[in-house]
Amino acid sequence: VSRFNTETPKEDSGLSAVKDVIAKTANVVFLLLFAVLTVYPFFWVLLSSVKDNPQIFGSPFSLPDRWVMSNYSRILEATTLGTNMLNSLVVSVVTTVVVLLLSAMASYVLSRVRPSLALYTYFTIGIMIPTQMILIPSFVLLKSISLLNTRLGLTLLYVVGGMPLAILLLVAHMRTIPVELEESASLDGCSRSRSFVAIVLPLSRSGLATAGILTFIHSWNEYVLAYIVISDKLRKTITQGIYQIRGEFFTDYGLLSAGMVLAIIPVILVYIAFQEQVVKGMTAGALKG
Amino acid sequence: MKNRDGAFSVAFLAPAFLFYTAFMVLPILSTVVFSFTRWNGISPPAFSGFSNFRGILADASYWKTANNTFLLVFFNLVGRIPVALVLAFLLSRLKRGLKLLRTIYFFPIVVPTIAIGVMFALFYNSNLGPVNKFLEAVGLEFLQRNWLSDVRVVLYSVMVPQVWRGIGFFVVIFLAGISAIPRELFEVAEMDGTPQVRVLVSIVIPLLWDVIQVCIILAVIQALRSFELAWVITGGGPGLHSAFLSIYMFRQAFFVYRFGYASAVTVTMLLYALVFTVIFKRLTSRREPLQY
Repeated sequence: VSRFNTETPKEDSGLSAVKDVIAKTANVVFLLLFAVLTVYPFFWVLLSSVKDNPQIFGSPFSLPDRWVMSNYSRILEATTLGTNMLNSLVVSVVTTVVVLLLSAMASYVLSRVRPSLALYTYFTIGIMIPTQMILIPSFVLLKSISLLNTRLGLTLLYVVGGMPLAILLLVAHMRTIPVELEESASLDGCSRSRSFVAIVLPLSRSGLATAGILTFIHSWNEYVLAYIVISDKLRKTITQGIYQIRGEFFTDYGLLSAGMVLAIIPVILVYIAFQEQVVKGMTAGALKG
Repeated sequence: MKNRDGAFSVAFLAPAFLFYTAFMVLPILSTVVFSFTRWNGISPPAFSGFSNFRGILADASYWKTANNTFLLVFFNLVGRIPVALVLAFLLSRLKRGLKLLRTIYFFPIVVPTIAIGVMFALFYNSNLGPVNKFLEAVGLEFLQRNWLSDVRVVLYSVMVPQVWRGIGFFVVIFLAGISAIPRELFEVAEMDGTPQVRVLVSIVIPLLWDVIQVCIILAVIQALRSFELAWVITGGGPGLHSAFLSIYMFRQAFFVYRFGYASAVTVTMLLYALVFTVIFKRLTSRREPLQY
């Protein structure tokens, strides 16, 4: 600590207090500036989604002089985006449920029944693997079992992609449950599977919530695997849908903005409701590597 | 109960293990195997030794996109880590509003990358997009460009959103690290009137060095695998001027069906990440951990 003490305050207290206020204000301004820089692009899209194109191009930075909702109705009528959203919802929800089930079972064994560092490493190494590394074999594999161009095939890939992070989070969480609870239950003749369902799962609620939220967000946002698996327009997911309408309507800014708002809203809602879990889970997954 | 744990463990691990092995581990290994084959995806792959890797050495398109990728790695490092450090440090000094700002900074990470790509594609459009309109409005017309077709700027156009979007991620990680530093250190520094820059350089950075190292590795890895933003905004074009290795690999695989060659490109991407991580960890490993 002593090496930070070498400088003694030279100014009198009044002057340093003024300097202090200036410095603090500058800090806050800088922080707010970056917040604006972060939010403004999204805000611009949100505003543009309720303007018509002449307004967007004529006065791109002003508030809408009248609110136009037709972008939203047009996008749902003229494009398949509604169907794409529904596909994403189904794929993401099914993925989340299956990931939680399989990962909870595996994590229970890895954390409390037969801990094995080798197996734990085996499962969690997937966090560090870039999608490119599995792209071609996944395509070939799904083709060979006739699951190419199906939502089931895509879900399968998402399940496998979601398990590493879920197992990482769930093992960490299940380790913290006191072992005495299970021991006394086992003395009362409670089987492993019963104590999993009756004791460990209920006590893992917050871990399951974090893993589930992240799995949902990742599935909703995923694009590359969806691109190579699904080719049928009506089976495509939301990210594919957005990519597609950008190609078809690339000068129709109002329409595209509305589409982006629709694509972003579900994850925003999840994020706002569970931001603590989202932030912790995402950074934990990254730091593991 | 104990003697039945073996059977129970197998039964509970089996579903996850089988799926994971079949659809994750085997594909990873397959990519490595495919990289040694000539294969168009239809006729069976033919073993070709190192010919794909020799081909890469002589492939100007590969090195063009590799060069772009390394540039992205560079900007991902210098554009994100210092800014994130300063922001996290200033945030940690804040008494109110910390949580709200953290929520805002992290927000772009949660949004689908594809949506961010479309967003920036709209911004950059040279006739309609708000970037050029903004430059006009503030009297900086001379800065206006065809952001997505001018080959001198297009690479930077697709790199900006990647850097912009990833800063908040590191802010959150650094913030968690700073909150683990004993408060007394900051209090002492404040009583001494130590300038903030010195506090950042002499206290925060040394004590956070382990976390910073992790973020450096993350920034490199994320840049090496980055695909979607450039893919949506320009598709890598014009030509290969804004293409990264991931895009080159994708085109080789799914546009011209050179699965073997594309696998080899993927393997080199993984090698860059591994080599960097190993060398970096070797260089930065300290004999004794810093005490505080």
